[in-house]
Amino acid sequence: MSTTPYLLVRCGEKVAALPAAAVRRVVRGTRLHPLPGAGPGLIGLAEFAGEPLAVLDLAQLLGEERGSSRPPVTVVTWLGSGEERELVGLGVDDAIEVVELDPSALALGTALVGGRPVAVVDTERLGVEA
Amino acid sequence: MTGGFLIVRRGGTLWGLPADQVSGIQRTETVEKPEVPAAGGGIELRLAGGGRLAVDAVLTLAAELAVRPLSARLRPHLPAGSAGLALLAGEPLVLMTLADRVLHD
Repeated sequence: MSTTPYLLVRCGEKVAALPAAAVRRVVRGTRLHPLPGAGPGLIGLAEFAGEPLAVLDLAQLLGEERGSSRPPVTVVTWLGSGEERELVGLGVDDAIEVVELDPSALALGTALVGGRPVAVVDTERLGVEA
Repeated sequence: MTGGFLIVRRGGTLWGLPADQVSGIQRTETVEKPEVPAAGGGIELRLAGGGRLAVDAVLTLAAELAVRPLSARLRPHLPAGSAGLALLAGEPLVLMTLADRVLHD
C-alpha cells in the first residue's frame, strides 16, 4: 500500500501532520512584523522569496489555545487548491520529523504515530470556514 | 495629493494608503507642550472622505506597489480596512482601503 509523506510539527500540546508536498520551507527565527489590530490567529507578517507572507498560528487554526509566547518556527506552506492556492506561513513550536502515513489518515483527520495521536491537516481546507 | 501610495508606519508596521484619499498631513504635537508626545507619534493624516488617522511616521510616496489582494482565508485575520499585502524594500506592508472609512487606532 502506498503511503504519503507528512511533516510532523508541534504546536502547544498537540502534534500535527502537514502534507510534505505542501511544505515549501521550514524557517527558524523568521523576522516577523506584528500587526496591531489583527486577529489572534495572525502572528505577523514576514517576507519570503520576495513576497509578503502572512504567518498564521497553526494552533489557533486547529482550535487550540496558545499561551503568550510566539511560535519560534515558521512552516511556509501552500494552502488551498487551484486558483485559490496561496503561500502562507504557519507558526509552530517545532518541526519534528517526516513520517509516512496511510492515505486514509487525511480523511480521518487523525493518525497514530508511535502510539501518539496526531492531527492530520488538510492544507486545502485549513483556515477556511466550513 | 494624487496618485501612488502614501507609506506610513503605525504600530511598528508599514501601511500603504492610496495617496488620493489623503488630503493633508499635520503634526499634532503642540509647541506649548513639546515634552508631551501626541498619540500615534504626533502625526495625523486628514482623509479626503473625512476622518483622521494618527500615524507614527510618514515615510515615502510609492508610485506603484505590487499588491496581493487578501484571500478569503486571510481576510478575517487582518484588521478591518486591510485590502492587500505588498513588500516595500523587503518589508511587508498592509494596503488599507479608506473607501469604507473603517480605520483602527
